[in-house]
Amino acid sequence: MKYHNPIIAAGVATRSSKNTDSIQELRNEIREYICASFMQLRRSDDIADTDDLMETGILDSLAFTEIISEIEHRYGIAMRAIDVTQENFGSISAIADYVQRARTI
Amino acid sequence: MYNVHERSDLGSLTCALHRNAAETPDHLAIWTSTRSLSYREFKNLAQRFACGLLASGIKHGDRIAIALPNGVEATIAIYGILLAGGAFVPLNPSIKTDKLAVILANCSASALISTASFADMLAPVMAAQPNLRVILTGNDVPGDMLSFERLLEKDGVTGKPPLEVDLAAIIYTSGSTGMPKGVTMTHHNMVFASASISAYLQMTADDRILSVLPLSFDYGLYQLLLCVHVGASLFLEPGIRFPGTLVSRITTHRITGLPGVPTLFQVLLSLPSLGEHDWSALRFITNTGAALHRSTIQGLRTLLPNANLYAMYGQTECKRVCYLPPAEIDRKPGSVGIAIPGTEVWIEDDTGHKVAPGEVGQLMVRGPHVMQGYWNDPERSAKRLRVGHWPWERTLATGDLFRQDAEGFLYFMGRSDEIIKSRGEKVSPREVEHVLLEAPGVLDAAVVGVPHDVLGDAVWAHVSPHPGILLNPRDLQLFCQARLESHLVPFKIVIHEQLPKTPNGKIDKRALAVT
Repeated sequence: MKYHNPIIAAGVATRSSKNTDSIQELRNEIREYICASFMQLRRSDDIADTDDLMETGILDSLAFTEIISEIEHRYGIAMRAIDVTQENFGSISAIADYVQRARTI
Repeated sequence: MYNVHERSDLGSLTCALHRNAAETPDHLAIWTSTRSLSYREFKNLAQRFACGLLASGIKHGDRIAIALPNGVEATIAIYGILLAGGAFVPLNPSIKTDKLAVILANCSASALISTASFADMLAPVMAAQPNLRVILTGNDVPGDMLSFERLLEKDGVTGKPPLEVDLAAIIYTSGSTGMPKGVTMTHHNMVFASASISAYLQMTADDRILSVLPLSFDYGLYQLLLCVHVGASLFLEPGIRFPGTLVSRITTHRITGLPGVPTLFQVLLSLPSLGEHDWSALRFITNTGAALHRSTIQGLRTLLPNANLYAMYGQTECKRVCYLPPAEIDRKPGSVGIAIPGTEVWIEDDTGHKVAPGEVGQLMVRGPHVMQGYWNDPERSAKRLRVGHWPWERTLATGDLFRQDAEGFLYFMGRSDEIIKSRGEKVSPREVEHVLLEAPGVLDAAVVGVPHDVLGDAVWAHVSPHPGILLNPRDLQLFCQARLESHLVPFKIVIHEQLPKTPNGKIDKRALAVT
């Protein structure tokens, strides 16, 4: 079963369906999603694009059970298990780069 | 000159390391993402570390604490301490100063091995224990501390090796009072446990085990001891972290054994397109800590049709109590199986008599894996170690409630100190938790008793949702009412974002009891 955050998904659905997002817009969307889903007690500007999401304790491995289906659904990407690495998911920038690469393939 | 000590380590943990280094010196012993050691290299480094420890003034029988993350340094430290005749005290690398000071004082440790990032928090510990040597890995080692790397520069002979009856380790567990208890294990205890566990897992030198479990946790520690016992190879990861990396490691390194806890398996199974990888080398999976959800068992079997899945139960006081033979998993759902090879278990009532099949009582354990007691704590040792079958023998009273079916298979019913008495009836928190975990969207559940004027104890359920899910206490209440006898239905359901966890990843019920 896939779980989605309806508030966030509704807010970005129309924009993210276009392939014209700049990388910074993509980062902003991902930051918004991570903040809403995993940082309910923190403010969104607490987190920089290059912050290590694992080291800062914002994400733990269990978070991927939700993030993967969310990213797949939102951006129409077919992810592979071995994509879930530090390189692709270590920070907001890394996730945005990964999404952009995966969307252009 | 004749070496009178040459064979005195017979039966000790170091014996297997010497054997592997002599018989299969080039076989892979330990590897991580950045480094790998053959058995020859592993033994040489451990031997050098032992020499370094002895040169720094460590003596036979000394207790030495290790607070290191999973990596080759931790494995070298463990076997180096043993080769020097010392006992190691594994500690969680995220341990805080207060608890560290209590443990180091309790076992009068002569040294602490940790990372350079620890140096700053050690001043109060060193002030309280002026004779404590601090050994740090990394380059930035302050002047009053010793460098791990420098200790490895010593070469030579280690002198008197440990005997089988010597103390090998003290493993601290959390006590119900909050004061940690040091479980003392001899070489004999640990070699026996390794032999018994590796026998039922049918481990051989060809096995390649991947462990994300911390070496400071006895389940993680034993992955190292088991591999050395049979001469197998151990791949160490610092934790689950990014699960895609684990998938690559398991499938490209042809990992044969994967020990885990339910979280690891839930995370792995949530990944997409797992079927495109070759999992055929993975021949066994072990689980302990908490029971696996039925859907997780089903998911593992679909992905890994040829792998044996072992459900197990244990406690640090005897390492492991029982395991469910994989072939019985359908016939005995929910069971944690039978006593591990070479040991015996039974269930007693409050008066010390064995109970009939199906009745709930305290699980008792007999065998060479039973601890020697809690270090420096005769009072709490006496509560758990009872007079045994022979004058010299001690039986372990686990404090955990079980029932045994007519064939002798064990079913965990809860810890005896957790049993709640509400409206005059006994409530097994485990039973209520099982139902809550079946409810849609529930990730974790912990049930505790809260004193109540009318009920005696009121049953409180603390629940956390899967990320992104909003739980409604009222819906959960109805869910429980539909599935539980009325006295078992939680009086109150509290929704948390996350449940508090102990350093070993178990739900911290004591923290919940005070919320």
